[in-house]
Amino acid sequence: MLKALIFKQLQELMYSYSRGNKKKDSKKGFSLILFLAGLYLLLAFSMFSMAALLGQPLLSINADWLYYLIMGVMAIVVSTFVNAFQSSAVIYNAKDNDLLLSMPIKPIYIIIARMFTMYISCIAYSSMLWIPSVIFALLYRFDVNVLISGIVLLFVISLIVLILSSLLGYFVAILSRKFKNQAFISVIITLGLLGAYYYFYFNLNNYLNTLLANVILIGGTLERKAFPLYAFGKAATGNYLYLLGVILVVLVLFAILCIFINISFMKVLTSTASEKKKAFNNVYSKKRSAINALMGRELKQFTSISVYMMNCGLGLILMVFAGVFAIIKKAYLLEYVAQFEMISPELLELIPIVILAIMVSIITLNCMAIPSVSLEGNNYWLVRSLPVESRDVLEAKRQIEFKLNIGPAIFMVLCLIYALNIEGLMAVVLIIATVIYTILLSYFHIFLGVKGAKLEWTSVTVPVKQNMNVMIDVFAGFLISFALVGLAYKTMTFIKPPYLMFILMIIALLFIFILNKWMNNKGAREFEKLG
Amino acid sequence: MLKIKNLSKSYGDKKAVDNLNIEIKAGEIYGFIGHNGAGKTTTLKSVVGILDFEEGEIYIDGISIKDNPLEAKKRIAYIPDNPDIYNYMTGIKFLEFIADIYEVGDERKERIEKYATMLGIKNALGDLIGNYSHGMKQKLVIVSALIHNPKLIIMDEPFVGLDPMAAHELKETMREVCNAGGAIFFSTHVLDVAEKLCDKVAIIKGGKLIKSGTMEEVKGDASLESAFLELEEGHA
Repeated sequence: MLKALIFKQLQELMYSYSRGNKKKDSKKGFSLILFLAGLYLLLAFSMFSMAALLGQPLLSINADWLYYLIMGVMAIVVSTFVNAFQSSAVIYNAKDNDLLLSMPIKPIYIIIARMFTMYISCIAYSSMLWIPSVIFALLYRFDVNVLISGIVLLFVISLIVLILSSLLGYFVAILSRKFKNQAFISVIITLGLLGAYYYFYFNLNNYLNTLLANVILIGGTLERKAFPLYAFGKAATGNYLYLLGVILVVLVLFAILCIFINISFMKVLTSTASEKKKAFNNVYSKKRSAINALMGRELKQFTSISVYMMNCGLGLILMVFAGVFAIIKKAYLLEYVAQFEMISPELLELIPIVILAIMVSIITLNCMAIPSVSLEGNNYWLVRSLPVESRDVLEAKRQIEFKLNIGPAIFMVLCLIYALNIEGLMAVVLIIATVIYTILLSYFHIFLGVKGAKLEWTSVTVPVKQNMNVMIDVFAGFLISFALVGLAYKTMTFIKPPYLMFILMIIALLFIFILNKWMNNKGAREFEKLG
Repeated sequence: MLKIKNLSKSYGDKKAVDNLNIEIKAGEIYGFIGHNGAGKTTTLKSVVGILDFEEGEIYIDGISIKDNPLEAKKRIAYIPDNPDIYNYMTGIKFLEFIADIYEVGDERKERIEKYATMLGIKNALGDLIGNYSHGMKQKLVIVSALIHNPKLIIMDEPFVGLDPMAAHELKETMREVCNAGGAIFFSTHVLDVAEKLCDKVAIIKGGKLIKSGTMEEVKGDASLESAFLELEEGHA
């Protein structure tokens, strides 16, 4: 029975990452695997750079265990952050809860099967951070015991992530049943965690310097007062005794977690919301046009699903923060930019393109339109039976994304214009480019949304998180950003960046035209065939 | 009101609906009966424009669902067998959404109040749909189908999940709609209800129409159930 449940979960996972193609296509499957591998390598490489930054000084003074501890904790914190809200959706809010619980299946088996697939996700994220750190250490000083410990600890770290994210998921599930606006509460919690993460990230240099200056003192303190952390670090150095100890402790913690979730699972699922019934107050809204009604529907859906907001809307907050940061740290930014001026004054002309590239990479994170098509799900029949054009349905999805993005994007760009003293025509061009690229990305996202649409899902994380086209979008965003800056740098001797901006805007307008035509014709027809 | 001409629809190699011809006039309640997998839902979804079909034509009030889907859909309302609607909306917000799409003006208030009160869900309109029971969602979908005064109502097993009072009210409303010049085309497995309610009935098996006509023509002196079973065996 457990095997059957695990198999079902794995099938769901595989289906969620397929491109929605009904026919099996080995070429497409292979290119998909290749793409995933490329994305993984890109992210792992950036982690490797961070590992090198930390590892070089620590490994050189034989503080290996501290290095592994810090990298391990980072891997755990980041992976837990990524998986926390997914665990609530996967364990407690799956659509097939009623079906499975109505069958003679022990709830613990359902929980284990779901945690199994979550564990795979934990391994995927943890490995992106942990493996590069181990590789750097091995390149610095090869030790086969470190290699063995590193591999074993990958699974241990993933288990720790599973434990922490499952616990967080429990609290999110509780909150969602107690509070009406649980989606917003989840977002606020996430913002808090994100704020803490970025606070740590921007002070990393200071912490690193403090750490290096006091490494012996810190090491001694950890050994005395936080032995589990010390033990973890020592386990990673190839000390098998410590490794065994860490494995045993984590397994015991995992067993306790399973018992806890087994007890809480049914309580959480069967608890009714304590909210009072809201009486109907006989107040009616004014009549809206069909397109406004559709947009209202999209906005309501976006703000009602926390995992949707967090995965496809956190960039909205990021842009506002980036703008405020730019104003507060104007002097710091100008100092930073001055360093490039010393290399070559012409590099300053690239600043507007860099700003555009930053804006593009953030907006690709705000890809609300991509999952919105799949999120029609079982409600698809409704929008198809109503007297609305399919192109209007898609346009509403696209417009909501554009309208949500444009305000924060313009704000961020204006703040950067002020902070970096960009004046006159260039400032105007940059603002116009921001608008054009925000429109372009909204069309691109609708294109991806229709192409990879899957209406059958049991957990909302499938269309929102486990969506191949969302990954393609993030990857494309980075690619476009690098391409913009790279192109401007390579061509700056014969095309001045301001003129290049004009050319890029014209190209963007062309793509907008093409994608608009597609959305209103072929895209609308593809949407109609989804059911 | 509704004309289905030579409708055929296949799923891969399997023909779900085969050369179906049905005509429904204004004022008629038309029942659609068949075993599971006979092609009822496929037919209804094709009429509503949710499914494409390979052959044939469907006209709603003389308007082709293929050539002019928007105009055709303005005249119909569809109530599916499974009322999957927007759990994140309140009942009233959902009804207003539907009213906006169908361009129902200020008269929406009166209609919502009338039908919501009739089906006993008026007090629940302020709650999230996600908190509704299946029956309440079904009732909400029925209200949403009625507020724009459709000429043709397509219903797929409309009585499933309704309490006896609501089922009675729905039957009364169906008769009211037809008396006002509309028409109803609905599928059901509850043959007693079909027998009492329908003016005409069509029986489908394996995608093909095996019998259609007035209730008397189809069942004769026997009950509809006997006639149905006999026809099913005869075409086995």
